[in-house]
Amino acid sequence: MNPQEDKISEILQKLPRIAAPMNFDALVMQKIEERRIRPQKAAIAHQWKLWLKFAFPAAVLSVLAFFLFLPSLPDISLVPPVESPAQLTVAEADRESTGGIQPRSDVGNAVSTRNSSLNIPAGQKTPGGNLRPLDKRNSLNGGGSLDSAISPAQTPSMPPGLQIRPLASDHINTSNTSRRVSFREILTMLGISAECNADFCDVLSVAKGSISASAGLMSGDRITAIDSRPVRENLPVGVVTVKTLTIIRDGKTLVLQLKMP
Amino acid sequence: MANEKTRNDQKSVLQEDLHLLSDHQLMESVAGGDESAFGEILRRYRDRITNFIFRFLNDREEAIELAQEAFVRVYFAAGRYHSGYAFSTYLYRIAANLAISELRRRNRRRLTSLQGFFRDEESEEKDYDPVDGGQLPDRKFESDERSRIIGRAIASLPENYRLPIVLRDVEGLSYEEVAEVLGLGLGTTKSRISRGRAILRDKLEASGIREN
Repeated sequence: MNPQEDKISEILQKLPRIAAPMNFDALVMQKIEERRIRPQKAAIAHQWKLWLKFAFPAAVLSVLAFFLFLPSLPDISLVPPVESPAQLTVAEADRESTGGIQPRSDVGNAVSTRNSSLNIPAGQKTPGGNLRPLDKRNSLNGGGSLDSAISPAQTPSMPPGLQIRPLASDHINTSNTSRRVSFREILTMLGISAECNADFCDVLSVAKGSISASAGLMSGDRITAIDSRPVRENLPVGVVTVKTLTIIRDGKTLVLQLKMP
Repeated sequence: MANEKTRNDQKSVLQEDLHLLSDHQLMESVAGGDESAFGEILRRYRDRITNFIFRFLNDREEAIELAQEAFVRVYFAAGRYHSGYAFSTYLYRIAANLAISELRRRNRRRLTSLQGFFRDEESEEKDYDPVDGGQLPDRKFESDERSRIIGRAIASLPENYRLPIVLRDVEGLSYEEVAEVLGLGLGTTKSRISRGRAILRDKLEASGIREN
């Protein structure tokens, strides 16, 4: 070591030394205690991070997939709420006061489908009297209400039974065979309030004046088929003509003919 | 009352015993869960480690913080401690690693700072401020100022030279101990210390600090 290095070393050795603060030991012990607790918190935080790592991208992908494939998804019918007899009575009172059956937007919304492709063709009528044709707004809003389902046709030359056909203005291509009409929708259009299982539907109430009531359907009947198609089947869109209801009443199987009065 | 007195006597005896124990023995006790042994280690090394980091970083608050962190690490690593090296070497190595990490973190922060994009040659920030050549009225103030300038000059040394200089000349470790702390060969260590002193001498001369 040369003399110059010696002097530098001497300068550095003479530098004042700083001491640790008085609470140094206490702070160290406090940190140790914190560090002992931290592993538990860290484990919880790690779990959350894992969830965020996988769940968040999955959620984003799900949303993207939903919007990307939404147009190609098959239509999903909303399950209509079961109307109680009391509600039907109110509906009847409305009909009587208006002198005919009017579409009700609230019920219409309740039984609406996402893409309304169902409509009752013009040219049918009910005992309640003639009804103006279903307006486009109501149809686009959900495809018809319970009341409109049992609405009459204005044209006298109608086929027996009930026809279900898509609207010409609907954006769904009628050639798209993936569009199906659920059994429940058909029952609603026939004025039937029912509780459905996989293989049958128990009738809770039948709208007064509907073709189902005219055919002799009663509450307590168990519907097993429409036009010999089992309940579990959904019918393809096109022109669906409902002519018969197969029911079980008091243990006996009956076939009710749906005929317009 | 008598029991309490006996307990206090035992405690004082234990304290005296701890005082006599070597660092390795204390670490064995710490590994066994004896916090009083850890307290003794703290008492022995807290000032040295704090001063070492302070001279390396030239930041008192950060030095205290990092010194505490070094002791916390020693505590939790007590079970894995091997007496192959001197405990002081082991502790200085932990402290040095923490200090180097902090220094690199600061350098990264400085590199990413927007100041670097707008700084020109004239306004370039100096690592240390040269002292005013005039006489200072107060000797204490002069001494403080001198220490401050030397501290800044040390802190302005490149990392490769700063660490061995601080360990050797400030902390008084032997060349062998410095080489062990740094994980370098003895020759490399001596060379770095020598080179570091030369750089430091130039810096101090430039700032008006005379060697005498």
